[in-house]
Amino acid sequence: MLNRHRLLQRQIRKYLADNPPPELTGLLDAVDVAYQQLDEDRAIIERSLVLSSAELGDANRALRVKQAELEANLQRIQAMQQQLVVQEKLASLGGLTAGIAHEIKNPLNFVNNFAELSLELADEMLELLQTDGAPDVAELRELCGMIKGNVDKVLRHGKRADGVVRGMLLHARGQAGERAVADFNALVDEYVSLAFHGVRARNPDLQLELERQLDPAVPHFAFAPQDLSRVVLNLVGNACDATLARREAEPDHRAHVLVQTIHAGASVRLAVRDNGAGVPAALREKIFEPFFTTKPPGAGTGLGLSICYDIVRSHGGELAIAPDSSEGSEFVVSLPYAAA
Amino acid sequence: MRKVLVVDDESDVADLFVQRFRREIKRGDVAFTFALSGEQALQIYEARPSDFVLILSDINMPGMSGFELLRRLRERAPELPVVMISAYGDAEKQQQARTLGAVGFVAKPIDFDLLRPCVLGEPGSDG
Ligand SMILES: Nc1ncnc2c1ncn2[C@@H]1O[C@H](COP(=O)(O)OP(=O)(O)OP(=O)(O)O)[C@@H](O)[C@H]1O
Ligand SMILES: [Mg+2]
Repeated sequence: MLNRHRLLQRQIRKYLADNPPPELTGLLDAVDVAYQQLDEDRAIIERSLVLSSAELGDANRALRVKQAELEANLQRIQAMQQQLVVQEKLASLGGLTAGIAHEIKNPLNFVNNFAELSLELADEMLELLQTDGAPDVAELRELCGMIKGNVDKVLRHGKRADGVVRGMLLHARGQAGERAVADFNALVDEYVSLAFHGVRARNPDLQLELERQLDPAVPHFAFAPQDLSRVVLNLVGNACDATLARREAEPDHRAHVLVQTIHAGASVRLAVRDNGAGVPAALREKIFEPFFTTKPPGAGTGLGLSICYDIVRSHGGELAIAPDSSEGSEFVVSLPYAAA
Repeated sequence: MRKVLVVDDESDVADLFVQRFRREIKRGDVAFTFALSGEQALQIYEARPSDFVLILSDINMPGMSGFELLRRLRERAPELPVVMISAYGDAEKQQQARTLGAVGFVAKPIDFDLLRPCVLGEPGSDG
C-alpha cells in the first residue's frame, strides 16, 4: 500500500512538474499521512490476525488431541461395556451353572450307571451262552429284559439331559426353535398352569387368583412351541411375582392375574394382566434390557423379558407393555399368524 | 442283614440300587427301603427306628430337603450314620453336610465302587 502510494505521488508530481501548487502539496501530505495511518492499522490487524490464527492453530491442535483422547475413551468404554455384558452374561450363567450342573448330573447318574449295568448284564448273558449244554432260557430272558429296561432308562435320561442343555443354549443365545402348526390356546393353557405351579413351589402358602380367558376363535397357526412356552412362562411368572410382591407389602391385597388370548384380525394376541405394583414410567423401556431386574440377587436373571422380546420378534410379532401399566401391569404379545 | 434306607425323589434310583446290589441282595447281605421324599423317609424311619444301619439321602428334593431330613435324624438318632448323595458336587455343600453331621458325601453320578464298602459296612469305609 505504501509503495503504491509512492508511485501515485510520483505520477502526480510528474503531471504537475516539479513544483506543485502549495494547496496540492498540503493535500498530498495529508493523503500521505492518511495512507501511513492506514498502513499502520493494517499492520496491526495483520499481526493480530497472524497471532490469532496461531492461537487458533494451537486451539485446533489441542482440540484434535482432545478429540483423539475422547475417541480412545469412547472405544475403551465400548470395549468395557462389551466386556461387562459378556461378564454379566457369564456371571448370570455362573449363577445358573450350579443349577445347570445339578440338572445334568441327575440324568447323567442314570445314564452312566444303567449303561454300565447293561454292559455287565450283557457279559453275564454271553457267559451263559458260552457254557456247555443248553443255556437256561428263563435266565437269558430275564437278563435280556433287564438290559432292555436299562437301555430304555439310558435313553430317557439322555433325552432329559439334552433338554436341559438345549434350554440353556436357548437362554444363552436366544436361538429360534422349530415351528409347527399347533393349537396356541392349548399351549397357553398348559404353560399358564406350569408357571402357576412353579410360583406355588416357591411360595407354599400361595393365595393367588389366576383367571384364563382363551378365545375359541384363535386359529391354529405355525409357531415354535418351545419358544412361545417360554414367553408364557416368563410373562405369567413375572405377573405372579409382581402381585405377590405387592401382597407382601399390603397383606389385604387380593393377588389376581388374568391371561387372555384374543383373535384380532390377522393376528393372535396374548395378554397377561396383573394387579401388582406395576412398572414405573421411567422403567418401561429398561425392563426389556437384558440383565435388568429388580428382583433380589439369585431370584431373577433379568433375561426373561429380553428373551421374550427376541422370541416374539422372531415370530414377526410385538411384545409391549400396555401404556396404563402403573396400577398393575399388562404385557401384550401380538403374533401375526399369517407371517412366516 | 444290613438294612439301608435310600431317599431320593427320583424313582429310578430304587432300580439302580437294586441292580447294583443284585448279588448282595440275593445273598441276604443287604436290604434296601426306598423313600421318595424327606417326609416319607422320616415316617418310615420312625415306624421302625431300630431297623436301619445307614441312611443315604439326596439333598435337593421338593418339600423337605435332604439337609432338613439330616437335621431331624440327628435329633432323633445321633449315632445313625447318614450319607448325603447329591448332584451338587461343590465343596460348600459337602462342608454343609459334614457340619450337619453327615458321615459322608457322594457326588452324582454315583461311583458305586466307592459307595459299595460303605453300604455293605466293610472295613475301611468312612462313607
Ligand atoms: N408384571 C410385572 N409387574 C411389575 N414389574 C415387572 C413385571 N414384569 C417384569 N417386571 C419388571 O421387569 C424386570 C425384568 O423382568 P425380566 O422378566 O426380564 O427379568 P426377571 O423376572 O427379573 O428375572 P427372570 O426372568 O430371570 O426371573 C423385573 O425384575 C421387574 O422389575
Ligand atoms: Mg422374569
